[in-house]
Amino acid sequence: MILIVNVCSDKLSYFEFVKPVEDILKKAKIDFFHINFQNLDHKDIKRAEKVIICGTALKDFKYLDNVDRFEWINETHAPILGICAGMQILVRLSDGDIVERTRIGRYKVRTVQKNTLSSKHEFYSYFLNSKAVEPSEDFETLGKSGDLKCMIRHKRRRFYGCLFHPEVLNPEIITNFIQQSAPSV
Amino acid sequence: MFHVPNIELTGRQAETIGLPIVQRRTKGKKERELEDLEKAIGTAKADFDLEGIVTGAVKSMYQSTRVQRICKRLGLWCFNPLWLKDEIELLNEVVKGKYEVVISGVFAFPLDEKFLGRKLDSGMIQKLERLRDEYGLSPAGEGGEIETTVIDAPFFKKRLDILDYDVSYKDYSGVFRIKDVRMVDK
Repeated sequence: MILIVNVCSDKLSYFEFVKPVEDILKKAKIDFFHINFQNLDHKDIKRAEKVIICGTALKDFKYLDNVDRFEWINETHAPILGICAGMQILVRLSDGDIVERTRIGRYKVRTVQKNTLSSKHEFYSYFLNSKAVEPSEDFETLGKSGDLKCMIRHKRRRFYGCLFHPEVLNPEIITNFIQQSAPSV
Repeated sequence: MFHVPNIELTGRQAETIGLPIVQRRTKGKKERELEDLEKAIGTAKADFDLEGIVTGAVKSMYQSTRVQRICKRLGLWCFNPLWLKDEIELLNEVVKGKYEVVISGVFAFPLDEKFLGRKLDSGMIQKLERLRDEYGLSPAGEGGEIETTVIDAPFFKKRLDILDYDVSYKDYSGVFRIKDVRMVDK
């Protein structure tokens, strides 16, 4: 069962940032359940074979003010894909930095390292972020957009981050994450 | 960027919904029109303590990114609750939700004059679905193929009854222009 973590502080944002990810899983006939990060408990985390942490609205930073609610990430063995806000949470919990950087719209992403999320050398993605990341050395960069590190992987754990929103133009990134079985690190 | 056919009717729509409206003119020049939009939204923010914008963007990245950028600059929330929604599912929800919607503009092959003024119902949705499969047309008009006008909705206090209209059409491009309406009890 896949756990989808909703970090949106407003219900309206669920339809924009969580439901499209759910629709991709539904289409691929993959079972999932979704929970807002504020209501997540140990039982939910234990049930999860894999976790996707979705993004939220540009003006929403409640997840960063409550990053202690994500400390379960340090203990879980489940692979995690963090999308935008989700990527920022993964980086923050690994002592990386969150920096002010806005990018809105469709931009080219260049993969800089072979990975199991995307087999393409270059592709277009949809960005909607007002913050970006400077990951710690725990992470390696898989993709860049200009000088922006927009796709990362943890060196020892199966944690992935996309600063862009793959649910818009790159649904295969989400299904590849779900369908990969062996650790790829 | 903007919806044009029957835009004059938004005043009457606002009246029947019972909400204030900010209306501004624009020459509609690419990108310059966004400055006009930003000024209008800025006025709404100042006059009505506007906190955010809700758009109806479904697939149009052109429109959604431009509204997102304006909201970012003005410090407003931006919500796109229909984003990436299945278009046929959306149209069916509109009909099921008792919205009364007429097609007020067609701007793509093979949409002919017969579409203009037609109401959105299950038969029309099936037709649009066939055109999507055959020609790649966006059933919700996200590529600007179709424009619509809402004449009744669950939150309208009165419905708009069309009293007078005219139709102009040439080479797969046409408009159903509503010239006069009256508000009638529901």
